[in-house]
Amino acid sequence: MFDFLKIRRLARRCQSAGRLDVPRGHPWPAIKNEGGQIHLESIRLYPGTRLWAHKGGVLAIGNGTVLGRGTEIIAWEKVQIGRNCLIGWDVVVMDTDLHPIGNRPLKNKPVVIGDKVCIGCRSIILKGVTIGEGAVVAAGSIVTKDVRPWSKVGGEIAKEIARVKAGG
Amino acid sequence: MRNVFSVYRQRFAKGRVYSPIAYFCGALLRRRFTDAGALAWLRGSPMPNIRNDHRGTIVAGDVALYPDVTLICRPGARLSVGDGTYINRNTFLFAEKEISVGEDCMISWDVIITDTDGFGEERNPGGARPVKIGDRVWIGSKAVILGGAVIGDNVVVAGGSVVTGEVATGAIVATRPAHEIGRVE
Repeated sequence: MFDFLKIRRLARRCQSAGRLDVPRGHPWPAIKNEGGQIHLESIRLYPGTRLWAHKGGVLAIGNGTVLGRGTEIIAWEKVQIGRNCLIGWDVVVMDTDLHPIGNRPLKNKPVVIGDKVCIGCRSIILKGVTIGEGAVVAAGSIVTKDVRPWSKVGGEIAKEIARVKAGG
Repeated sequence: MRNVFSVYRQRFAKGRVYSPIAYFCGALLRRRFTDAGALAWLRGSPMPNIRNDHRGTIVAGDVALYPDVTLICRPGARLSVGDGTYINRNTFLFAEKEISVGEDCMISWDVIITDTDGFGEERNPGGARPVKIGDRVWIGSKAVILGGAVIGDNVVVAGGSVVTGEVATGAIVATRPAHEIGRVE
């Protein structure tokens, strides 16, 4: 009943927001803007989505994109998603490693996702990836390198590794 | 005539039995099902989310649902879950055409079972292919079962695996696990 107030609250966290559509369900999408820039056009955020822009990070999502349930977009430098993308369930898109380890400093590299990209569920898009227009990322894949436009990439599929013993 | 009380009385006569409060809470979910056996809702909130659109068919036997399970059945689709199965928390079943889960299955947490290609609930560029899961299948946590998967009986699906094709009866399937790619300097 108070959905429009909650959507106003989401839009207030962004620097610019179009018509946000949130279908019914829980938990409500969360937008965490810690000094970054979030520019959303008219998109649909399913319940469970989280958008996080760290200080100095730019997060931009184009018109008509749909973010599936449980998707997390983490922008510490730049994450740009194009128009009419179809992002499945539980996808993680991040342009950062979130913390340094050992002697390695923290490296952030921009992530650019083109228009009309379909990203399957449970995919992980890591830093520095450019996904060309119209590409299809299959479910469960971990994308670390660039994806050419209109191509299809995927991870591994389950294979038989053993058999269940007859007794148990 | 089979009414709610006889269904639950029959359930107590069979194998796995949960607490009365679980069955009482499960009775709150019966409205969304087309046909349901003795439903149990275990271990608390949030409530399992059954979205039927009233034009799909959700048929369940004596099923136990943990919190935050989501069953979505699109109009004209059929989602059936067999007797004795339990579906652990945060699992997401999305039926665009048909999903049938067999009896005595053990579905772990955070599993996604869909008969589409997993691109979300909006459009489905690939087309829906029915998913059939056999009896006594053990699906590990965070597995993804996509359209066209036909899983036989007594199968073990390892955690985190992505299953698309046919899985023979009695097999253990897994996606290739992590391997060393470098060292921390």
